[in-house]
Amino acid sequence: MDCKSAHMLLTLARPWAPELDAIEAQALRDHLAGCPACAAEAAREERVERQLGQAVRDVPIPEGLHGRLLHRLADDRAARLRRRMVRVAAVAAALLVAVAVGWYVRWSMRPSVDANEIALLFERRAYNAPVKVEEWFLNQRGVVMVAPTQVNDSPLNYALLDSYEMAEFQGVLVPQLVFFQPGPGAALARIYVLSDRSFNPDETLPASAVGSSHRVEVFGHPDNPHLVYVIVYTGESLQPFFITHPRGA
Amino acid sequence: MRLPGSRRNVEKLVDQHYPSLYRYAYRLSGSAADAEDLTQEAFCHAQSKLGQLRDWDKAKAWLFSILRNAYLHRVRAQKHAPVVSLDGVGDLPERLPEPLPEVDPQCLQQALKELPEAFRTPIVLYYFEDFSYRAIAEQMDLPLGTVMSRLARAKAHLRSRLLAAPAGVPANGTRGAKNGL
Repeated sequence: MDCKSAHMLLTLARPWAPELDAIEAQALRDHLAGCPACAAEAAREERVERQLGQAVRDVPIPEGLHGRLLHRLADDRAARLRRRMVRVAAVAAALLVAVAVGWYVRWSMRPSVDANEIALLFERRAYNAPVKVEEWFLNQRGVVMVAPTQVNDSPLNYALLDSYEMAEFQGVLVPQLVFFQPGPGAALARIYVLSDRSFNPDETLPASAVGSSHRVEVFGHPDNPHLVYVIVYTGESLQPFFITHPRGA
Repeated sequence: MRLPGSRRNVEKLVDQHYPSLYRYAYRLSGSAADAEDLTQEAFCHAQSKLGQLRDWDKAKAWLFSILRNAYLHRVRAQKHAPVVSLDGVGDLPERLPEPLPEVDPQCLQQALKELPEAFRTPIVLYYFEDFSYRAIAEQMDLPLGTVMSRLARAKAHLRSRLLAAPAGVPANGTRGAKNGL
């Protein structure tokens, strides 16, 4: 190692925290052992660094600083706890207000009973053609269904259609059409439209509810094997719900 | 090791590091009152963020970093004090008298105050024994070469202001006009 390299390493070396690796440090020591000029410079550098380092670190610590720090930290913890409690209380209060406002809005916006609207609704839903019923289920309930038009070649009388809506059938919501025949011997027929995705049409049990005032008939769609109609009706037969043609007509 | 923000851990940090942290704050700010405020602020910040300290062995560097950020935040809000330019200061040490004169504490603080923060921080960290060049570079988020260059120039400034032969020192104590300080 020459003096120039030694000088460079001396600028890196620190007397209290060696920055040189073992090989560099040994090479520098070897050089200093044989070079009085560099050794003198190294000694001088070390004195200067120690003196400046000592001067920089020589800062008197104020009396009681440790205690004041701990006290300030305790105050800071207490303040943070208070802020957290205030935040929690604010959130709780906001939730409470939101719930109260929501309840009040809901309470104040309860719908009033509009007899006229109900009457118009049923008026609108009565007297419909099958295609209108299908459109209603599609548009209002998002359900694709095929309304029955006839039972065993007998056409259903849609003038008797009273209402239609989704209804529960053995735990499944399915389209339901209600036909009503007023007058003496009034009769009611509910037609449930079932899909083979929800029910197994091949295992339909025969209606044998002995003692029930209702009768049940099950029939399929003539063109769509996936559809099954279940008719629950009062009366002796389904005849009142069919369109009757005068003899000879 | 992840440390929970418990009171005991914070107090342990205070016990172990408050003297060096205070000294560092004093050398950065030059005022005992500011140094105490900065030290308190740093420990309070450390208390609230203690979960970020993953390695207890790096607690000192972490605290120093917090304190420096607090200091920088504070000085940015204040009017900058006049500082000297180090453009003309060489890396080579000045010729120094023998024996070396005693370092006057007020002159030392004045000489540090004259340095821009970018030079003052590394030289103060340098003389705090535990900080290696690499640790200083990490602390300041600077390349190692930049840190060493700044250290060389800051050391030259301190030597010329504190240890140079009296005949070479101007009456006002600064060498800015001639040496670019």
